[in-house]
Formats: sequence, C-alpha cells, structure tokens
Amino acid sequence: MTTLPLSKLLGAMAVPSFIAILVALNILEPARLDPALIFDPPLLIPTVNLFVSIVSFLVAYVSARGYLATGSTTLMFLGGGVLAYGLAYVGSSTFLIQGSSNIAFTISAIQFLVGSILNAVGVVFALTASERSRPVRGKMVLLYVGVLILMVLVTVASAQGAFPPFFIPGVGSTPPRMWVLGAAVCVFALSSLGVMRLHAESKSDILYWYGLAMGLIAVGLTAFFLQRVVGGPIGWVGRLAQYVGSVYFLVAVLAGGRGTRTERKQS
Amino acid sequence: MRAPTGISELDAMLHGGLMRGDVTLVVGSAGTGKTTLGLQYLINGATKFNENGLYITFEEMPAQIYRDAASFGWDIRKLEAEGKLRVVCTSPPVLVQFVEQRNPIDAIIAEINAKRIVVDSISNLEHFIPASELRGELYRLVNHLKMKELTSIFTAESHEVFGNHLVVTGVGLSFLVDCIILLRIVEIQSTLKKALTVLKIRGSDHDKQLREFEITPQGIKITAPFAQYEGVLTGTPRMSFTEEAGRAWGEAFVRKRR
Repeated sequence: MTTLPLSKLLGAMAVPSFIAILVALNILEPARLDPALIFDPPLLIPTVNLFVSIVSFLVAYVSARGYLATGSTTLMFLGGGVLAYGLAYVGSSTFLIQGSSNIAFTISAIQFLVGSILNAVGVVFALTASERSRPVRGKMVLLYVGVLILMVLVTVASAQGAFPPFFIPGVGSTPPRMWVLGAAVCVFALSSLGVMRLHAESKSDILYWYGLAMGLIAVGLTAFFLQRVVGGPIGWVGRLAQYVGSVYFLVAVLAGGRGTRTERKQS
Repeated sequence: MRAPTGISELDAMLHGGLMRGDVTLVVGSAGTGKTTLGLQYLINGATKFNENGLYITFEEMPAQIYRDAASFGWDIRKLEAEGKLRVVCTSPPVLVQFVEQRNPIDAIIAEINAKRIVVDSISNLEHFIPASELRGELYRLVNHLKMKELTSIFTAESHEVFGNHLVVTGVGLSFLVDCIILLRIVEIQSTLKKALTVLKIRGSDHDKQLREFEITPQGIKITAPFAQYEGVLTGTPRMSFTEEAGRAWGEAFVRKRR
C-alpha cells in the first residue's frame, strides 16, 4: 500500500475544503448582503485575475511544445482549453474595468464553457487512445487561433447585444448564464475525474496536480454560479479556488520540467 | 560582395556567403567536417560560381584527397585537368615563405586565376614556427591573401571535443580573421551530433543560431537549429525547461495499455 506525501495530501485537501466553505457560505449568507461584507476595490479583481491568465498561457505554451514534441492530441486540446480559460479572464477583466459587467460575465461564461469542452475532449482522447499521431503544427495553430477568434466574436456579439443578458447589475446572474456556467462546471468536474483516473493508473505527478487544478476550477466556477454580488464572500472563495488551481497548474508544469521528473509506478 | 559557399543553408546563415576577400576560420575538433567544408567550398566555387580555387593541405597526400572527394561525387582530377582547381600538398614553411618571395604557390594562384583558397589546417603552423613568431607570421599571411583578393578559408583544430571551455585558437588568430565558423560535436540523447554556428563576421550581420548538420553523400547538409536545447556548445546540452516539461506532459497523458 502506498501513502501520499504530505504535500500531495494537503494539495488534495483544498478541493473538499473549498466545497465545504462554499456550502456553508451558501447556507449562511443572507439574501441581501451587508455592504460591509462586500470587498471589491477598483482594479483588484482584474489585477489578481491576471495571475490566472498568465499561468493559463504558460500551460497552453507547455502543452503546445508537448504536442509538437510527442504528437499527443490530448495536449493539443488541453492547451486550447486552457488558452480559452485564460482568455476568459483577460476579456472579462477588460470589461469589468470599463464597468460593463454584463459583457464581462457573458464573455467569461462562454469562454469557460469552450475551455471546459476542449479540456474534456483532450481527456477523452487520453482515456480512449494511447497511440499518437504525427504532430502537425498547422493543426495546433488552427486550434489556438480558432480559440482566439472565437473570443473576439463572442466579445463583439456580446457588445452588439446578440446574446440575452447574462448578468443584470443589482439583480445578479440570469438563467442563460446559470446554464452556461453550470454546464462548464459539470464538464470541468468530469474532466478532473478523468484525469484523476489516469493518475490512479500511472501515479504521475503531472496528472495529479493537473487533475486537482481542474477540480478547483470547477469549484471556483460553482462559486461564480452561486454568488449574488461581485466581491461577496462566495465570489472571493471561488476566486481563491481558481488562484489555488493556477498554483497547481504551475506545480504540474514544474513536475514536468527539470529536476522533478514524473514519478511512475511500474506495475 | 559575397562569395557563396554553395551550401545553401550556410549561405543563408552568412546572409549570402562569405564576404569577398575575407579570411574565414573554420574551427572544430577532429572529425567535425572541416576538410569536407573546405573542399565543398572550392568544388562549388569551381563548378557553380566560375571561381577557381586552390586547396593547400599539410596533412593528407593528394591521392587521399582525391579518394575522399570521390566519395562525395566530386571529381577533383577532372577539375584540375580543366584548370579550375588545384590541390597542393606542402609543408607550413613553404606557405609562410610565399608571403615573402615568389614561389610555386604564388605561381599556381596566378596560373589558374584562383579566387578561393583553403588552407587545411592552419594548426600545423604551430609545429613549424616558434610561438613568439607565429602571430606575426599569421598576420602577414592574412594580409597577403587579402592583397591578392582571395576569399580564404583556414581550418583549425580545436582540442576540446566536449566541455564548457572553448579556445578557438591558442595564438589569437580569431582576432586576425574576419569570420569564424565553429563546428562542434554534441551529445544529445546518447547520440553524437554535429553542430555548426557562425561566431562572427566582420562588417555583416549573420544567423546566430546553432544548427545541426550532417555529412551526407553529397557533402555537408545543414538542418534545423537546436532550438529545443540550451548549453549545446558545452557538448552536453539540456532540453529547455518548457520543452522538457512539454515532453513529460506528453508522456504523462498517454494511457498505457494493460
């Protein structure tokens, strides 16, 4: 029987801890939040969100290098998914600064869903196929550029009012946002379980931290689903879960890089 | 302005070829392809660019040169018969004398109207000329070749096959020449590969990348840069961090069949 190192054990504790806090806050938080409990200084959220975006772009870059080196289709889709996730924060932060919260929430919700689907496709490839194809740089560029173009189209369409409102200031999230965000939560959670299943077979550190990162993204999005006010306790717990998830992404990158080689259990 | 080597990838690295009338030093340890590079430069000059050439060797007999060249499909005897190329096997003192007085080498240059010259290898001069005089003699030789408007290649042996320490030459020749091309053997994933880079060109920009090359049946073929590696010049390169992480990720997500 193998035991998890303390660092991994503590890492895994983050997911149930954040879930427990969210459940508690959702029960305890009153419908009308005391303004004293709202913490939303201008530029703070966009600034800290920048960290998530930068880490996401690093992960997308490492995935691209990995795809080109190994031909792993999984990595191509994971990279595209994480890129969409990082772009969601860039887009939403830009519009939050301008005070256009509906556009910000529309962009982020749709991009989160796109990111979750691409991640899930990658995980399905990993779970069902072990063969790799010859890496084709054009395919990867097409996917990454496609994600970027989609982001622009969603932004333009949202600004033109092509989508139903996703967020009404003073009222909160609308059903379309709930559906889109809810779907993204489910897909990210399932992907996380898929990656953890792969980890159970290989004991790879990379899979362990990547799977937990996806789990924390799902928890974070759940908080955005539940939050009634931007800057409220539930929202901050969600953001914290996503920041910790980004740290886990970084640990997964470090686990793959120099010095900390992947541990593999030889069965 | 430029004297193309005829090795298209190298010419691209040199932004068109060697600067006409310049002296280029090709440095590398044994077996890196210095002689092949020098010969290919002369053969291409004679056959593709209508520039006749002279090959001076201190180490190999002409018969050996003809045989080795034939393995690349280069018919030196034919080019010699056509007056486009000449192979001279001599001793270093003769080369140095040719700076001072008229001698057979000067006569050959005039006879075939040579525009290119390869001296293989300049390292042999160290055995025949006292160290205190070597730099001065080399300085005079370089100037003499420039006055004759020859586009020259000197080959020089680097003693370090691997390692962090790189001495281009022990006599400061690197300051006298206008261009330096470094050839190096590097170990990548337990395989010995050859690397080429242009260290300097006086008065011109050049490609700074370190590229892999092979000695093929057609001569030197330069391929991709070692973009995924760092520390290649040490002889024992490492993959860059993101490349290593990417590869490890690729391995991690592959499900092993049971």
